[in-house]
Amino acid sequence: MKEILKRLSLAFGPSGCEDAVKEAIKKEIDAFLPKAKDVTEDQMGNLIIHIGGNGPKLMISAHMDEVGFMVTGITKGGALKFGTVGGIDPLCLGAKRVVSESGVKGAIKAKPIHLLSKEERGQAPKIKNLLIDIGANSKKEAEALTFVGDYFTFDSDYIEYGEGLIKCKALDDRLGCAIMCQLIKDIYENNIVPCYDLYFAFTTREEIGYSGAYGASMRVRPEYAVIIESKAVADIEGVSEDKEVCRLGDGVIISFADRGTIYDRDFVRHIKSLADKNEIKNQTNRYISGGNDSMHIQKNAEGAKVSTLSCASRYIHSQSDVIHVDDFYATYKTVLEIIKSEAPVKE
Amino acid sequence: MEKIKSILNSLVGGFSVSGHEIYGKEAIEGLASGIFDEIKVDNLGTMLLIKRSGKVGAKKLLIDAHYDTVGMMIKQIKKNGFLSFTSVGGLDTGILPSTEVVIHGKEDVYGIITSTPPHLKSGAQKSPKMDELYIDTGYSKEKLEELLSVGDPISYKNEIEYINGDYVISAGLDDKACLCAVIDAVSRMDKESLAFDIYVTASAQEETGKCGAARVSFDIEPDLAVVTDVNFARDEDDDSFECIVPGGGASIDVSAVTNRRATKNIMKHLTKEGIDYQVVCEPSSTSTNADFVSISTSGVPTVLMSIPLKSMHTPSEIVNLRDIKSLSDILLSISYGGDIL
Amino acid sequence: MTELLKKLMFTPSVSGREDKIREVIRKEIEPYATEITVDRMGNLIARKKGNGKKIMFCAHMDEIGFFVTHISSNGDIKVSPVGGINAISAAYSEVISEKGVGGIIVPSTKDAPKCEDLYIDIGAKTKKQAEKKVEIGDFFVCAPKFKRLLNNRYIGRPFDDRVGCLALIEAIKSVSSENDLYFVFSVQEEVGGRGAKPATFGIEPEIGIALDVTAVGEKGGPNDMDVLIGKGCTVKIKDPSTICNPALVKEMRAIADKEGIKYQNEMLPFGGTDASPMQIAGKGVRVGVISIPSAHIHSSCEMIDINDLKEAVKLTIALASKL
Repeated sequence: MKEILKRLSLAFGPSGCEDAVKEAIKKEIDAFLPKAKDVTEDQMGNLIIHIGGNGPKLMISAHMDEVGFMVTGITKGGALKFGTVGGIDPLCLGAKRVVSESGVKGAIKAKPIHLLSKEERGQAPKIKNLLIDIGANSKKEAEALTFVGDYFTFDSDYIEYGEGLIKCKALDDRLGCAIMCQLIKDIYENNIVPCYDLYFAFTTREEIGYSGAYGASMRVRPEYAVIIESKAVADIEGVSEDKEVCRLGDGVIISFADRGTIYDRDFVRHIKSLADKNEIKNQTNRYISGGNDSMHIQKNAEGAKVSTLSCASRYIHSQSDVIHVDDFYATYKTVLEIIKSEAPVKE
Repeated sequence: MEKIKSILNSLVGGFSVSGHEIYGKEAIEGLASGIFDEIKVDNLGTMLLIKRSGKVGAKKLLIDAHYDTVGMMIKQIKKNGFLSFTSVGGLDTGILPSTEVVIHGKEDVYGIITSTPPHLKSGAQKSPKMDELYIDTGYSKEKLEELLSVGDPISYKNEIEYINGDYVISAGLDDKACLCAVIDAVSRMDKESLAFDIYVTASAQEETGKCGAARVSFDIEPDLAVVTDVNFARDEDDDSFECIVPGGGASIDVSAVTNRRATKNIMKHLTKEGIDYQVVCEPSSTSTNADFVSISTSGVPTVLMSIPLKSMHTPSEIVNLRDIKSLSDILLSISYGGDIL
Repeated sequence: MTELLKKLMFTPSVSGREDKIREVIRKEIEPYATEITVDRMGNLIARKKGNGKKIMFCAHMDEIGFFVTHISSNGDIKVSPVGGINAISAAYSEVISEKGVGGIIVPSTKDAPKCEDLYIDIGAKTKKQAEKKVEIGDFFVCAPKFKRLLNNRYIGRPFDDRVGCLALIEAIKSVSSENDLYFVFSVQEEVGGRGAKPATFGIEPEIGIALDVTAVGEKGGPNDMDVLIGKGCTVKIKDPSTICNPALVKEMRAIADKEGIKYQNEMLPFGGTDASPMQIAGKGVRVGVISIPSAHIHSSCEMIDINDLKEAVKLTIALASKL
């Protein structure tokens, strides 16, 4: 499953430009697609796979897109002005390597410290002042390599380091995509009959808010939804325990609430008891922050009972997105148990 | 250009944070063997590479390029695999979060400089202070104490990339781009035609006080010194500083520190030979080894030459290969220039 | 009426945790409704079937409060606000948890506190002791209160929006109408009107009327508006989240005038109601709002005039049968 994660994470797919990721996903589950009840690629670019099964409708979703950059202009000196696609901390931009959809490499320029004025020192750079350098000497040279509207992402490799940590760009949310690919494999290879009428939705545009999940959930109209995500945490030196949110290595995060969603209490309790019963390490968030597609899915159409299962992630939305491999497997196992267990009984 | 690329690849492959240049010694020795007659390392870690002309009483030309790079150093080993660190040379903390590094302990350990998520930030965004940043190694404290110790040097994790034909992106091009030009030049020098004995210093600790080159210079007492270092590349989109044009060739820097007569003679020589160069002015001082070489021993006539570099002191410094080639051509021509002194 | 209102107010139910209040309301209305359903998000939907217009009335069951996020080593309870908590008012208020654990909100600063400065002291001496009583994800609310002052004015909490719920309950009990009426007791209004949208999507009403509290421009408060306590309920014209359907507003006023119901015109300069998600659910709905004026909204002690609530009940019943 780590290999799937690596292949998917390295695919190019900022919001609105997820095709390469979708192709990579289809390649992973190629053999099983003909067995699905239905495979839909909708107008928003979502890939929705209807597996079927016995029980209420359950949609499991993960988003394919990652944060990135869009070229908004080219200067006379041949550097690229850009805007971010999705939220990126300006402190994580200076001197970082980037690559375009067509493979043009470059780096975000950083003003040398020697030339920073008194006012500039100590201030975070402003994104509107940052430029991408692709080694072009003039506007014309740059135009031969890229164009206004071209996409870039971080150019960052997959590395396993320390004791069980994984670093790559775009682990948010290729980890969810990888888990869903593995689950589809499991279902068909082990003849699992889901206890739900099961759908998998690989969605687009989560990072910009105007999300593909709207279209997917309106199409599927699930009664239950499980969103697989990565969650920004701060279990780093110098942060007090109550603000850490969660810790890497402490297991799958079964959230009770975040900034966008108060999760369905009964469904959350059901999932937590499944995890406990199967001795899967789990934790809940100790701080309310962030949000994800569940906020759209919960209240779209007639609404849905939602839960988000996430892997704690450090330095999210940077070139160095970090997760713990144990959390990754714990998340996978928990979702598998959900599929294999009866839906919670109605009150 | 392929030869320059290959020299550059070897040079940036060796890690050489200021004070720990010695770790990169092998890379230089590998490149220097067969080109130089003699290789020495002094007490500060500066490498002296000598190519002799074979002529009795030949004058001594010192060519300096510093070999050290900016980096970091472990200050404390904290719990849960985090390290606090201090900078070696000037680093802008505004670009450090989420940057990847390699810590050179008993073995090389990979790490990431911490960045805090949005829920811990409020108000106007400031750059973090150095002591608010940590390096995440993913190891337990116990394991880290086995692998590392306080004071171990840290360098940027680096990937060298060639873009748009002529440009190279890499950490440490300050000043390995110049060192690359120097090695390339010497490799092309024909012993018979040399007007000087050539003393090359790959000097240590430029970034932390410019201590390296001047010590060797003291020892050699050269008749002429050419210090090579990177300089800020002109930014076509930012006119707040005057600098040299990337891709426009190496520059000769005019300064009160450098020797006026030698500088003029070199310019005259290059014009005669039909070799182009740019000119840049550093009125009072140059913030390079030239400042200290010029006052070493009883004074050394010093000339400064530069290669334009973008995003200095970051993991993504950018240089135009044509400028490296240009500096190499200039140095080659000077080494034959009996008319200069 | 005040007895039932008090009962509703004394059933703490923060956003996303509306199960208790839902049961109280369900019991109250069961004998009067044609059918009662609870949808996926937990909205309680009572229908009084008819052949006329499909009209949806909506009041939210949830109230603002706190979620427990962390228990410190010394037994302090760290919390995160649910909905628009007024931190200055909340500081030093008595609180109660969903499990009935009492406590006090303490600000960790001497300056005017912000929500992140607030924590709850339940008297625990150690983390272990606190963990026996409270777990992460539990909610606390400022303690319910209900007390009569002069001139039919009542102080207490949470009037927002138990007064709206009360108006709907009274209407269900007494209305008789040709119209196909849906009474929705919605969830999660205080965190951004999350519940009303799916409820509306399922019902597909022609007309949607939200009942909620509105701020007032008196009592030395900070609000520059004409609505006053004791001058009747209001017919909302707009707030930052909704421009009410002008034709519907006209109709509402005409019906109120005809029935002799005291009302005020409301222009609210901040906030929003369930009318906003109702308006944009599905194919879109014509919406209006009846408000009950309330001073000190979202504080730990709100204030209403019970007569304004009575006018709101009358207007709800009138609209249900006459629209």
